[in-house]
Amino acid sequence: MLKINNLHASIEGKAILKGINLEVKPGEVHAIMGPNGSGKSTLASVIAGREEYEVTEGSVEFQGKDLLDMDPEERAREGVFLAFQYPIEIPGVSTTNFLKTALNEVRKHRGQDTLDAVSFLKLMKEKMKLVEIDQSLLSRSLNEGFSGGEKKRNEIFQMAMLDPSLSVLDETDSGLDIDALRIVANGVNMLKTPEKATIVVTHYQRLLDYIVPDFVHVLYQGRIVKTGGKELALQLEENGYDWIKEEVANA
Amino acid sequence: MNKELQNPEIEQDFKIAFDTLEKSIDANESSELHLKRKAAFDAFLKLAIPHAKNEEYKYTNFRKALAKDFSLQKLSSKSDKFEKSDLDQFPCQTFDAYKVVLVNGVLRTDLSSLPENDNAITIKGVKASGEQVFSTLLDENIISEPDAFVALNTAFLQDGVIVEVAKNQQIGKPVVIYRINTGDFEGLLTTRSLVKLEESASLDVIEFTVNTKGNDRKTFQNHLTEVRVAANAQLSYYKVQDEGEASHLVDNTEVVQYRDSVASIYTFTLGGKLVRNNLNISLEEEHIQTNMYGLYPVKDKQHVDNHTTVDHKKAHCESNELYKGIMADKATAIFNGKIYVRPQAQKTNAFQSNNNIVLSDHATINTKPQLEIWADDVKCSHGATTSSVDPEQMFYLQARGVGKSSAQRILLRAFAAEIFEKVKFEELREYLGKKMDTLIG
Repeated sequence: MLKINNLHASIEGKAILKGINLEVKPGEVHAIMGPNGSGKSTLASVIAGREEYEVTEGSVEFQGKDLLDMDPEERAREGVFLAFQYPIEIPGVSTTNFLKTALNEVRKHRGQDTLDAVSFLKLMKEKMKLVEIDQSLLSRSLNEGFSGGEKKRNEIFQMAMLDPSLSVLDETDSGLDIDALRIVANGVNMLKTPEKATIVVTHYQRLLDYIVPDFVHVLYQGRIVKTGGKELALQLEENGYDWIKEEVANA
Repeated sequence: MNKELQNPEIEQDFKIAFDTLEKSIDANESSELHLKRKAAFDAFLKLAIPHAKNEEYKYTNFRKALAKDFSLQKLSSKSDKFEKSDLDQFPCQTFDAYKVVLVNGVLRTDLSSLPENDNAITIKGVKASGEQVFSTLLDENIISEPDAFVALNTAFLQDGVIVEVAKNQQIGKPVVIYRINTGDFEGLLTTRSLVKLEESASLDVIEFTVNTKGNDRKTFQNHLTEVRVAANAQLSYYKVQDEGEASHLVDNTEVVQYRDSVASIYTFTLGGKLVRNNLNISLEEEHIQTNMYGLYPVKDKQHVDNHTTVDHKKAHCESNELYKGIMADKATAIFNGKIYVRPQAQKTNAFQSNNNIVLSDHATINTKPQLEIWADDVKCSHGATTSSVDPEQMFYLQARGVGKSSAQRILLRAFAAEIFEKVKFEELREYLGKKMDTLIG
């Protein structure tokens, strides 16, 4: 589904990603872990198409198409979804308000009929249950005055609505209390199908108790320096990242 | 006349037009209205069309603008060709409203729907009221400093409309005024409106300054609205300016308010090559509330200049001002907001805010708050912001599959929402929203 090959990216001339190789197949859950500043969020941003990052080398293929050649909205329509680490506030725009435009543009792209107000509302009600989100929240200005948990639940709600084939969760767990974390993780798990894949970017192992990964990758200094199964996450939880840094230094 | 002025032919052209008007209306030389018009024209010649060195017109050089192939010698042509079906192109036709239709400055009672034998509200043209009545009302509410365009408006006055609401009368349906420029002539177009609310009266006015679709020749329009809001009266006045791409427009609005009254003035500038709005509001007594809202989405080489003045003369009054602009292409916008707080105006609350979004590197905004405060126990604030569309917000929407232009439209709508949500009439709100979508993005 996703093939990242020797990806190099920089921001304002500073190299952040220095040769990422990663392949994600349908049905798989990949966790990307690593110390702060290792490039985890940069990787998520480059996949979603954030303009500030310049790809200097390498390629990203998504379902056989060149992802790097697409605008962010094209990527979303093709089925890539980024759950933001820090969902931004947009005063005067409610989730309901922009999501109908978003969903219908996505559906059009996928050759599906656009939804009228009634069917949109019906779909919304169904997906709201997944993340236990209240409709009144969705009618308010996006993320304005939302709690941390509400912001992240809203991200997962939008993910459920847009039905992506590849979801990238960028530190969705940071700053969440255990209840919010459980709700978010539960939502993600319920959306899982054999055709869909998930990349979970996280600093903490805690989330992986709820979203169980098939692979864990450790990102350090812009490269994936170690790949393992879910037990690698536990090892990192116990021993921290220092032993990884030492391994890299000694290599 | 000042001999050092550039393009002195401008005033000479106005003189020719004035003489033509004098002949055409066959005026009684000694009538009061006639004398007023003559005196106003003399005053205009002394003031002259302002140039860029005039501080009030620093960024809007009318001498330069009007020197370029304007037929200032000509007056607007008669409007006989304009028929009832021609009204359909303009918004709010289905409104349950009193309708006032001014075509090329002339009140067309045949196209208007005016109240008849109504004790609550009267709407009349100048001719119907008689020169005498109009003459005594004229200039009564002009409170601003001498201004060339105000003088010019009085000098060229041919027809106009007087709206009066009697004491204690709440008028349930709005008065919709269409100031229509047929756009098939070049020359001067002048209108005058008087709106008077007696004590404890209330009224909503929606005023469209528009031109006939497809016709868009160079006109110089000079409109003046005098508004008087007596004690405890309430007025909402929506000005919607949607002129053609060749039109030059000066729109003066002079408002005088008395004790416990509330006035809200909305100014939406959606079209026109060059638009200058002078909104002057005088708070004569205590406990008055004034709201001023403005929205100007501009593009191409449009030039829109909003000058507002609110003069707090007595204590315990409140004024709120919020103007928002969106500038695309090579457009220019000017905002100048004056707040005077006189020595007696203690406990004044005066708030002003001007926010702008600039969509292009070639667009310009000049914004200047101007507060002059002589009282010492007041709350006054002002702020101006200018920014581009937030790239983070754009990316967020795009990352959800919303295309770039839709995303921009959503964000600009949200920016304007603060103004739109204050518009009481849903149909008007929808019209403004749709119009803005087509203008920008």
